[in-house]
Amino acid sequence: MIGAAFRVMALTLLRDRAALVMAFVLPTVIFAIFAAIFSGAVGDRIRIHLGLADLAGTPATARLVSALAADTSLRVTRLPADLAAATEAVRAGEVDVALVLRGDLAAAPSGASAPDHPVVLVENPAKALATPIALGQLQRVLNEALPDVVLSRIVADVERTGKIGPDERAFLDEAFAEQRAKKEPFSFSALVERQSTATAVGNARVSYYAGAIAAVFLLFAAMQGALSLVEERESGLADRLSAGPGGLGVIVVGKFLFLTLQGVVQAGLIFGAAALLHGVTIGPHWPAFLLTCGLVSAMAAGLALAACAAAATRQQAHLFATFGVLLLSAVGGSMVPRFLMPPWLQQAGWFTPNAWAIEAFQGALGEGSAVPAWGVLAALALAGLGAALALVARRPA
Amino acid sequence: MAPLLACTGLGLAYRGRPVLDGLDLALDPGEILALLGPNGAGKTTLMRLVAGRLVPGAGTVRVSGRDPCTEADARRRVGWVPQEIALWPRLSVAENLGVFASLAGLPRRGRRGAVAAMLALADIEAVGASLVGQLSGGYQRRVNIAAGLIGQPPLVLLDEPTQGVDRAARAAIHAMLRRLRRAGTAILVATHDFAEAERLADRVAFLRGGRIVREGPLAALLAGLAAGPPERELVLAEIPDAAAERALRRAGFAPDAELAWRETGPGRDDGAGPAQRLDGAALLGRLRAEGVPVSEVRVRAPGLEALYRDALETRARAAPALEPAR
Repeated sequence: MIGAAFRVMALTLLRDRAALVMAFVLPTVIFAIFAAIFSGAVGDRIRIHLGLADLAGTPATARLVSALAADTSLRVTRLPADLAAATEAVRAGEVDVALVLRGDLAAAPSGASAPDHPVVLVENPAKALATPIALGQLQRVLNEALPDVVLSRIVADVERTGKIGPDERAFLDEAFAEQRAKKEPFSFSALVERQSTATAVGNARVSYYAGAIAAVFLLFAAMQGALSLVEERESGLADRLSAGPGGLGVIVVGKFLFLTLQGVVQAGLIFGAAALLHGVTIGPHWPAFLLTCGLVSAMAAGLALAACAAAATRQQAHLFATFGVLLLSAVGGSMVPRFLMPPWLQQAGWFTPNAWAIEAFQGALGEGSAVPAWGVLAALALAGLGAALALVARRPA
Repeated sequence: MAPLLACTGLGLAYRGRPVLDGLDLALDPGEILALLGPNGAGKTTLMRLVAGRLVPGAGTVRVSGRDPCTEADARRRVGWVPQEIALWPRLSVAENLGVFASLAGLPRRGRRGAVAAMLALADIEAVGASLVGQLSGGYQRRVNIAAGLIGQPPLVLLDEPTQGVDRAARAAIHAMLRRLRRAGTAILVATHDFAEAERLADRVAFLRGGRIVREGPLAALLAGLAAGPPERELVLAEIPDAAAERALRRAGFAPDAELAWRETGPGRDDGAGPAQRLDGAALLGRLRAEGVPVSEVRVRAPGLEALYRDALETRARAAPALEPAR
């Protein structure tokens, strides 16, 4: 009897070409788009569009302009040497943020109470994130490409306190120039060494995106499939089936098994695209990966069936399928990584299935333990299925 | 021997309003019982109770001595054909029947044969491979019934089985039901179609306010109907004016439809004269003389319709019934 319900779901899907495409082609397309969005928004390839205007035209500012233009983490556009023009370029959205070099970077600070800054940063409040990124990149480029300029400004500060005299200052400037000429790195520019928690190239970052997309897509797809419960109720089929010897329970279990299998295939397609396009390594982790696919799919199927069994009308089910899944996905980190959220929202994320699905996929691909997430997903799947069975078993009286 | 279906003192209330109230009913193998009654009389509710879909508030339902509410084996012995086309539209006719065969608990080996037999019984072999959603209403009705019969249940419940189908499809469905009766299947059919009930049913039961107010073989019920003259109906050529209406009422007729007037009692010669029933020729002559555009006089012996009026409408006027809800 369960097999019959499974067969109905399979045949219905096979006969609907649009639904078939949406079920098995859309996941990879959506993943490719979202992966591009995510990797640009939170990965290590954020490339803000920086406008540069060199009003000073000194050797030091020319060096800074060259260094910034050569930096691969920035998109640089040269602007006319005019502060008003740079401001207008930012306001008009031609660039995200602009740096206007209006003074000689190598010149000694005047020591006035209101210092005359040699660099002006023009920001757009609508692109607030661009400001700290631009400032951070400016500091990094100064340290790496113009360390002598940075040091000479520090030495000038010390000189102003009277601890060193003009001769010592000249000696130090000469030493910095020699080191720069020899292209030897200054030690402070190599203060930090980067180390990653990732055990495999590309796995951690892309497996996050893939897990995030898989979670939201499986929830959407399961809701679409589970809507057949509502349709069958409205057409009188559910009433007829529930009067059969097996009741409606076998139908729900058949749907659950079909949606779980469909979810495994969809997750497989998403991660297949991740492996192909982004080098995610699944091979060594395939048993854990497969188990995770099954549990995430079962979770989505169980919750979707429970929601549709509880929905009194098709409209209610559609509302949950759209707004409910969107809300869970937003809070659970399927759209924006949770570490970018306020702390209370990060904690709230643990109450969503998406967060656990993402944890499970990351853990399964070797980035930590997936066992706690597996437990939560299994519990959610069973709770959803149990609720759906209990809801359809209610007899009107 | 115990009947195949036995309902005893069956009662059910919905939100405090009685839908069925102390209903007793029995049905034997090879028998067709037609349930007649106005909308809301409780016909569909009775079927849902027999199918085990509803739990009775009072009384019992037994199918072959078992309770369909609690015993899957009892539900297996009931084929429920709801009023709606309760099928999967994207599956073919044969696939639908195959799924229902599986859900009815038929073993895998026997399903193909059962589907073929049902296609033949319902005379739908020609559309076996067609998607149900693409079939005409008549074929969908036949498939809907076939799906309820696939498990070869000894008791079949049919709720408005010929609703919205043409004469040919209706005749095909009736032929199928007669074949089932010959095979020993008991059929409980709820219908508003008097002609259908007259042609098919061995017994009829009139349901009103959750109770069976009259029940038995049609011939016996008609014999018990107060002997009276044949029913007469006038068909008019055009809508009568006020004067023609007055003449019709004086002759003992009341409007039944826009151009059809039914005789409800004896007429009067004039405002003060004694009531009398004119014969057909005298009636026609008088009405035409008074300007009534009569085109036809129809005369028929009292049938199920008269019985229905006597059992339900006359009694309803005498004593207002419970207002049941579905």
